[in-house]
Amino acid sequence: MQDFGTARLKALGLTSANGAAFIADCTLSPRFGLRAKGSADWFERVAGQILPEINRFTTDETGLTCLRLGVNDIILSGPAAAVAKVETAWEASTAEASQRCGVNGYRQNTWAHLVISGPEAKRLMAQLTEIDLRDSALPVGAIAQTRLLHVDTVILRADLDGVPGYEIFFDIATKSFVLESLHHHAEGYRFVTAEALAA
Amino acid sequence: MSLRLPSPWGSRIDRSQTVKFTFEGQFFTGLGGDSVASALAASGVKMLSRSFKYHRPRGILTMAGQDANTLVQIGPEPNVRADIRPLSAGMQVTAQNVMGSLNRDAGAVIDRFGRFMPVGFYYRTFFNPGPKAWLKLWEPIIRKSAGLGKVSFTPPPADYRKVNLHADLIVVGAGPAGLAAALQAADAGVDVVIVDQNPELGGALNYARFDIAGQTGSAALADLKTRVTAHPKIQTLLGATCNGWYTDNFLPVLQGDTLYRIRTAEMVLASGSQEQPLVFRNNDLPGIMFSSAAQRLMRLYGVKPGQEAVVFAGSIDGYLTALDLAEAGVKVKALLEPARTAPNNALVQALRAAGIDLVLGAKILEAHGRKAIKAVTIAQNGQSRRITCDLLVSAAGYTPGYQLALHAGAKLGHDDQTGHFTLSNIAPHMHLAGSVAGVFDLEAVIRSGQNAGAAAARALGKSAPALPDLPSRDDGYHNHRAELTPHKKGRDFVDFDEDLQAKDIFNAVKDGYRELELVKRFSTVGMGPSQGRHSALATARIVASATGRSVANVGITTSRPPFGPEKLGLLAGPDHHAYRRSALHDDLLAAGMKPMAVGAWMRPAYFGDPANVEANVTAEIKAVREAVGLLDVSTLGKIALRGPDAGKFLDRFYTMMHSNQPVGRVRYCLALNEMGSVIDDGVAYRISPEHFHVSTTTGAAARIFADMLWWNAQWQLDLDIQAVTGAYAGINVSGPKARAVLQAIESDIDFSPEGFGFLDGRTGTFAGAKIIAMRIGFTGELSYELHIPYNAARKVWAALIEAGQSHGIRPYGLEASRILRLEKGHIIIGQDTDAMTTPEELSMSWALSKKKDFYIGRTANAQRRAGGLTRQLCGIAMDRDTAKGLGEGALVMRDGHPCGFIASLGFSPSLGKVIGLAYADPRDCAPGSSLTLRSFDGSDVSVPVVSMHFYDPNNERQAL
Repeated sequence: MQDFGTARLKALGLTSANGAAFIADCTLSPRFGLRAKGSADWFERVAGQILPEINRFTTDETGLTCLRLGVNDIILSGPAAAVAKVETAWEASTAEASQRCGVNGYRQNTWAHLVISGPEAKRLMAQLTEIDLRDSALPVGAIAQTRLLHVDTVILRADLDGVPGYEIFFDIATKSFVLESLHHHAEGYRFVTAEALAA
Repeated sequence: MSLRLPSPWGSRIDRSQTVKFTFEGQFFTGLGGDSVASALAASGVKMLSRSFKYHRPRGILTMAGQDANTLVQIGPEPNVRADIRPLSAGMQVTAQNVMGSLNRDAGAVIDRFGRFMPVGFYYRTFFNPGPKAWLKLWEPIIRKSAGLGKVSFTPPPADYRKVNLHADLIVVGAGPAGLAAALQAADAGVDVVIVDQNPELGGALNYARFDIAGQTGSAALADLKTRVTAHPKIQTLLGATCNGWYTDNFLPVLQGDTLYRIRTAEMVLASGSQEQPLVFRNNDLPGIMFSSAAQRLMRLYGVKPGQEAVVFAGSIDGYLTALDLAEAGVKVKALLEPARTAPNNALVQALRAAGIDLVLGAKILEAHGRKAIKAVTIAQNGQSRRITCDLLVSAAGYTPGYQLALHAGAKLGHDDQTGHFTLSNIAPHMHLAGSVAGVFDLEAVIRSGQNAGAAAARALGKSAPALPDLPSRDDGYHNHRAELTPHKKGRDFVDFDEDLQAKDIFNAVKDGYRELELVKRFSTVGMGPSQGRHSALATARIVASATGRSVANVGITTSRPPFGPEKLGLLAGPDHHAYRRSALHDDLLAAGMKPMAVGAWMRPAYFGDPANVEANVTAEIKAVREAVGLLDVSTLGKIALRGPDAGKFLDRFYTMMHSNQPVGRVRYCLALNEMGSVIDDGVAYRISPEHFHVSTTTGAAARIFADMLWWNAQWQLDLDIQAVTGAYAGINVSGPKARAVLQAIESDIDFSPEGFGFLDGRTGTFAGAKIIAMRIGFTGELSYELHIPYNAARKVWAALIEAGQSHGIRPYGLEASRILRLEKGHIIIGQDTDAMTTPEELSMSWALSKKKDFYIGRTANAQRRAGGLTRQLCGIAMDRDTAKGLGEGALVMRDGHPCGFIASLGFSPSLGKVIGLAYADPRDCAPGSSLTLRSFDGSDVSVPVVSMHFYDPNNERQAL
């Protein structure tokens, strides 16, 4: 089973919580996404990304994570410099406009991003979403595009350093609502911003 | 008087823990692990409630939460099943449905007038005296009598949860069949969840006796329990009720204040069977209970159910229960065997050894007692005799726990040989095990569980053997078919919940209701809290007898979820109401925002002291008209359309032409549906040849986005459509000093009149953020709408506030906005339109492109236009005195008939009068005409029709 471990934690600005349960607000962590025709081709051809299958994600040793939501719907999340480098390269490609290379998915500002981690994270998630959370249906490395608390949500099964974990991306305007609901459900979890947890 | 039995009786109770509580104001003490009813039974309390109609005394019947006899009120919670509710310290338990007290219930007098209330009497009775008697006299009485218990309007806070589970196999029922099924499937590699409403595994193995020696059950329990508990692939949900079956094995399971929503691939139903009451006169007296209830009291709670017992043995369980009672020290004065011979000699020998008198060919004629049983009269060989007793235990037979199977479409039949209901046509992916499948012998029950578990495992692609069925030894469990002749004095109850007697069912049939569904509706049989669990079989047999049909032919009434009671709070779940907040929410609050819900969004109604709403709104309007105001328009829908066909797509979707729209220009968008009705409006800014940034109204954002996706799924045009509402905050800067404010902030956008004309759009950097700017507005003033990436919005807001200080800038809310737009004559979709509104009614034909062959709604619009206008929106104006009694929704009258209504109305501080928009007959809509408006007090007032463009009709201010 793939474990994204410290590289992903670090990329999100988190330090290992030694198995303690936490919910981290990583909304400001860097993301860059492309969608529409040409996106996959550009990522592979220009950015040199090996794209995962649809509804899967991969994380490299630097913590750079590639989420594949559709044939031409791809997001990078991870270290700021690495994400920025790809974004700059894409902007240069669009200026040339010789080939279609997708359109900006506005992922930085469209989504809120929370990390839910803890030994009982699956039990907590079962209160929030109706999807099948069993390992057979949502293994580590899998993505579910579904609803959580009645809000359209992208869920990543991303155990961190062996501790069960999920990353959730959802409409940024509902962040207050989702956090408030999580405070109700997530007894025993520490709520932090990525910056605070890193500190 | 304590009826507590010594250990090892009472597997659930903790003798080291005492629990104090009150019942009907009296103090009692129970033990840890007791149910409310068992604690009361241990203290000698037999009467727990009064019946619904006749207020008859009622006591323990099932000890399984399957009847209404033990419904009590506990604190603010009504209709608690005392026989299964765990006792807790300080409980205040009271009886329900009593007039006075449980012991002195004035309502009991109704029992004496039962003959005046025959079945269906309420259909015939409440019409006299006088034509309105039912409403004035009877309805209040009935309403007062209806329902059980008292609902608290201030219930204590509860924390209801919903948990979603997915499983390969759910086993409903943790009795021997269910446990065997779970083990067989788990051994084959299946992940299994066992659900059972009891707090422990084992079901009947925990209380029932399966052989004369009483050893088989406990040995099986120990074995199954040990293996299940240790099995890594088995999860248990105890104290949990599977409350229904829904399509595709979706199962709601209730456990305390948690609702589990379980989706399972396979399901084993091992729900067991329910004992059936015997029908005889006074069969409802406290002290008369099922054999399983007596066994539960003894083995689970260590309570002796009585001192002197008579046992009716319609099945072998009666014999075995009698042995239990004797072992518990109860004097069993007689065992009544309805047949002429006993099932076997071993049982007879065991009874003799226990000193129990076996009465063959016996029939119960009548029970005696007022508030509890004191004696029973039986008949044998034509002779009757009276036996004193304080306990009558009946083992009259079973019906299968068929509810979930029937929810899933199973058919109920009847085996005339055994007298049992049978189930057939079982749903795919459901497997029956144990007595619900008609198997009663313990070994056969376990084998049937194994085979059900194996079948489920095979259905999941696992390898599991199909074991041979064991020879049936279930003949001792044939249902006793007692004669169902109404007692001449009545009170032989078929349905305890509804106080229905045998004669009531016979009379219903005599009244012409031959079908069971009709008998149910006429008599209310099976409509009480027990939902027919104990009345279905007897009722079916009576109807079959009275109509000359078989029980199989009569059947039972439809079984629907829920299986048992469930709190509405469980359905509602956690108190979460999704809302959306703009990026500026905190800044707006800091500025004094009074938020209001607009759809899912929280938006500012106005800013300032709630005591001065009108003054606040007036000041906000004044700021926009004379200086500059800021409106948070983040909630407007925003959609990015990108691709070579983006312009072509908009041509089809909206009424105006967009494919020829110049880059850098903003164009109005009007959306119609296929009926030609207006559904939304907004603007489209062409950022580049292949990129349009479209805005919609707040309310229609989701609909327009969904419609766009739906239409392009058919059109297959080459573009990407993305909802970016949340990605961009929106701020409209409006007022004559708007430009000055924007120009004071660092930007690479040229905000000069020459560089940024009306309906122009620009992208660039502003206050350090990459923004989209459009010169559009809703107020009629010089306006710029800025769309700012969410995470940069607060920075831009702060810059605007700072730069605007010297210009008198202030935020304004929706109240001011709606007046500002009304002054300008701009419509609000949804307020000034309805499902039938056409562009012509809004005088917006100018928004319909004449150059296009197609746009959504074009054909319908043309046909409707050809039919002529039947109404039109027009402007009205009046002074405040005239407007008194008028409001939005007030009717517009013509020749005494309604012809329209006021869509918008409000006081314009800029104009010093009340202005509005109203639908009226087109003949009256020209400025200079007048409309007759119907006030809410019924009077009519005449008001002049004016131009809808109340303010700045020549559009000079927005073009500054």
